[in-house]
This record gives sequence, C-alpha cells and structure tokens, in this order.
Amino acid sequence: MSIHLFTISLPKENDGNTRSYRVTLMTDTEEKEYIQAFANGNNRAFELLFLYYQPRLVAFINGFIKDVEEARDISQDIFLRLWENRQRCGEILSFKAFLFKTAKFAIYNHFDHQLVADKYVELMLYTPTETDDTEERLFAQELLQLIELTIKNMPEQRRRVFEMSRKEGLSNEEIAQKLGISKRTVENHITTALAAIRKVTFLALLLWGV
Amino acid sequence: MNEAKMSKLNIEKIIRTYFHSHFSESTRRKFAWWMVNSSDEDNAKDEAMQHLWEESMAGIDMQTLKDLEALKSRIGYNNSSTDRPSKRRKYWSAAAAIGLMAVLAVASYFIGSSRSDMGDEFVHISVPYGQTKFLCLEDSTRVTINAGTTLIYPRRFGKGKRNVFLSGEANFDVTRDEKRPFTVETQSINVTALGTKFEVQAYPDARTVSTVLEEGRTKVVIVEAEAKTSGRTYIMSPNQNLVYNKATGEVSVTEIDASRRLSWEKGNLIFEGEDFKTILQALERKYNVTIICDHIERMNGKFFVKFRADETLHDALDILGNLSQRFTYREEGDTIYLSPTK
Repeated sequence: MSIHLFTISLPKENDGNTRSYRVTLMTDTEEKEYIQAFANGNNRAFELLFLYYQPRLVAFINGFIKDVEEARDISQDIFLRLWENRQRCGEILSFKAFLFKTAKFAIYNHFDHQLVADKYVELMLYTPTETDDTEERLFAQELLQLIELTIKNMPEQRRRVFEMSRKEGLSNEEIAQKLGISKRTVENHITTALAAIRKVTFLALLLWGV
Repeated sequence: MNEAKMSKLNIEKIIRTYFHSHFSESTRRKFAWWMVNSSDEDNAKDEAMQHLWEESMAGIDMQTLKDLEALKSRIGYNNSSTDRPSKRRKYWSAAAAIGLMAVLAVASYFIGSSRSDMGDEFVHISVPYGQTKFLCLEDSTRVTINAGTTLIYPRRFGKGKRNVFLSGEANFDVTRDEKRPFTVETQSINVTALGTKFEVQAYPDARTVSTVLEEGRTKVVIVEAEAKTSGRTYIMSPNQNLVYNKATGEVSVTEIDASRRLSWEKGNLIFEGEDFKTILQALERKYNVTIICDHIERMNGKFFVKFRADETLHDALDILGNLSQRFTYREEGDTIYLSPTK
C-alpha cells in the first residue's frame, strides 16, 4: 500500500480564508502542491509535513545510528534547514525522496564523524566480535565477508596504504616515504570518511548550496 | 548465481538485519566502516536503504508534538516579539488548529493500523479559534479546552500513570486515582495531580506558561531543558498561580482567586494584572479575529479587567479603550487595527 500524504486544500496565500478543509489521501502531484505552498511561506504546510514525516525520519535514522536522541536531533536539524531554505523548496520534486536523500546524507555524516574520531577503527575490523548473541555472531561473520570484499575491491594504492597501516602498523609518514607519495595523500587514503563525504557533498551542493 | 548478484543479496540482508537489531559497540563500528567505504556495492547499499525507508512506518506521539513545539520556538516564527503582531501568525495559528486536527486524525489511523511499538493509541483534539470544547476522558476526568488549543491523550490510560500533552489552555477536573497520577505535559512544565481541579495555560505564542490550582494539590516540574530552573519542582496549594517565563526561565507563584480566573470556561475573560498583549491575544482567540496594534510598547502597565461571556468584541474593545484611554480602533473584515493615541 502506498499512501503518501493526505491533503488539506490550501487557501490561497494570505487570502485569510482558512476555514474550509478537505481531507483526502494525497497523490504525488498534490504533494508537490503542498511543498509549493510551504515554499510560498505557508507555515502550516510545513507543520503538517513535519507531523507526517518526522516520526518516520526519526525511526529510519535511528535504525542506522542506534541513538534515538541523536536521531531526533538530526531530524530537527533537517527540518530547520528545510525551513531556512523554504524559498528554494519549490525545486523539490518529491518530498519523500528528498527526505530519504537527506536522511542518508545525515547517516553517512554521522558514521564519518564516528570513524574519524576513532583512529584505530581499521585495526579492529579483524578483531573477532565477542558476543553471546548467536544472531550477532552470525551477523558479524557475514559482515566480515563483505568487509573483505570491500578491501579486495579497493583501488590498488588505497589497498596498499590500508594494508601497510593495518597489517604492518606503519605510521602515515612511513607509508608516505615507502610509497613516495605525500603524507596528505596517505591520510586521504586512510580516512574512511572521504568516500562518503565525496558522495554526499554533491547532494549538499545541489540542495542547499553549502 | 554469480558473485555480484549474491553479494547484492547479502548486502540487503546485512543492512536489514542491522537495522532491526541491537548489536554491540564493536559490531556497530565495523558496520559503520563498511557502510562508508565506497566500492562497487554502493548501489546495492542505496537500494537496501531505500527499501527500509519505504517500509519505515511510525506514528505521531507526544514526543513528535514536543519536537514540533521545540522546532517552532527555535525557528521563532510564532514568537510575536514585534510590536506588530503579523497577520501571518494569526493566519497559521487558527489554520494550524484545524489542520492539526485533520493531520492527526489521519495519523491516528496510521498509529492504529501499524504495529504498535508506540504503546497506546492517541487521540488528538484541536479546538479552533472562537470555540471552546468540553471533553470527558476514559477515567472520567473532565477537561474544558479553550480556543486555539491542541490536547493529545491516550484512548486508554496505561498502568501507573495518566499523561496528556497540551499546547494551549485547558481546565482539568481530575478523577481521583492515587495509583495513577495525572500529568499534563507541556513544552516547558509538567503539572501532576492526584485528583484535583486546575488549569494549565501553555500557548506556544505566549511569553509565559502558567497553571492555576482551584482544589486539591498539584506538583509542577520545570521540564524546559535549557532553563536555569530546569528540573525544579513546586508543590501548589489552592488559589495559587504559577507563572513560568519562557525567555528568562524564572518562576513566580502568586495568590489569586482561582474560581474567577478559571471562569473562561463559562465564557468570561478575567485578567488580574496582565499586560496589554496578553489581553489582545486572549481576545483574538475568543473572537477569532486578528488584532494588530501599532506601537504596543506604549501600552505598558498591568490591566485588571473582566469581560463577560455575553459581551461582543466591540463591547470588549470599548471597555478596554475606556480603561486604558490610550487607543482608537478600526475594523477591516476579521482584522482590528488599534492605534495608540498620544
């Protein structure tokens, strides 16, 4: 079943007529109208979009970052930025798809920060997961296979840098000297976040010009 | 099955399992590393996330409402801090009340039909400008809801507590049940009673949140996280009025005549030492009009005034005009323009 949103027939902007409302299920075209009303300064449209989508947004983000308070904070920021950029929201073709992209951006961003904060994250990739939970043990085994695949598929130099750092425990400086590349390049290879940042910056540019 | 196809299936499975489970810190970090490391499998990751997004289903609960209130005050579009209350503010407030009702009706449908980790099913009542509404909750607690107010309550109260969420103004006549304290939650304060008559006023566009106790005993907790008074608890006696200032976080408790103050229930509006803006906001709500006042800062001082239920808006404005001796007004449709005289 795919129900997007109910609609409430929107009064023309500032004509003061706010008393007749029709509640129906919303089609994609109508959703667009809704966004348009919000972009034109109809705060009520904003509130209704919030009430409809925020619980789903929180649940989705929390599924990945496993911190419901943080998920709620992130959702607040998303809606705040939406409001701040409301004039440009008219460009959004599908609100639901837009929120999905933004949520994905936020999730990757969260992971990035988590990983950047932890310098030894790559050392622990091969440490076995100690757990009594059978489901988790099974999960960890399958995840490890995928991690190995990811490493196998890395570009040649990135993989070498990665393995020198992880297996041989060399410092970034030592790796730079051995491979004859700059320390900065090594750092870029090591920083796991980078790929994701590249991936999402495009999106951020597209949407908010940041 | 080729390797690519198999790994795509695994990716979906891994992401899905993770999404629905709670694993240890070390597993979570490995998952995060795998997610951000770009490779050929990115499309598969995207698709899996997209599927989970499509499936994600959650309904509105009190927390959602609190988040919305918090967001609104962060944005500040409902803070009538200017001396000229904008037409738009009024426009959306009345609209929001009606709109909310519709949205919540649909939301309750979703809550009702989705798998219920939200707990109870919630009922949402919004009362538009120009009306008041009387309501009897499942535990026989009686609630009178004033104009421009949203009240959310569970269809059935659970064990051990009876909580409702209020944005706006309502009087509560709570049925005694010592095993299940009754709590009115607002953005800034929580008011808990065992069995008692009290009022809570928490309009999002007002500077203050207040509660008046008529009978019995209530406990008030300041819940606004950033306030200096956050976490403070007050035990109130009858005929006390607690006022929480949203800007400064200050709390004051004064003695008043509760039965007089609470008589808006019968259509009366009574102000004892309120500022001019508060009175205008109450008139806006009662008569469903927009009142625009130039140079409201000139209308300083505290006002003591009573408007009876049968008085029209014109009567009220005339009374207020005579009392303050400081303004004239004109009318354009639903909008009243006040101009202070020198």
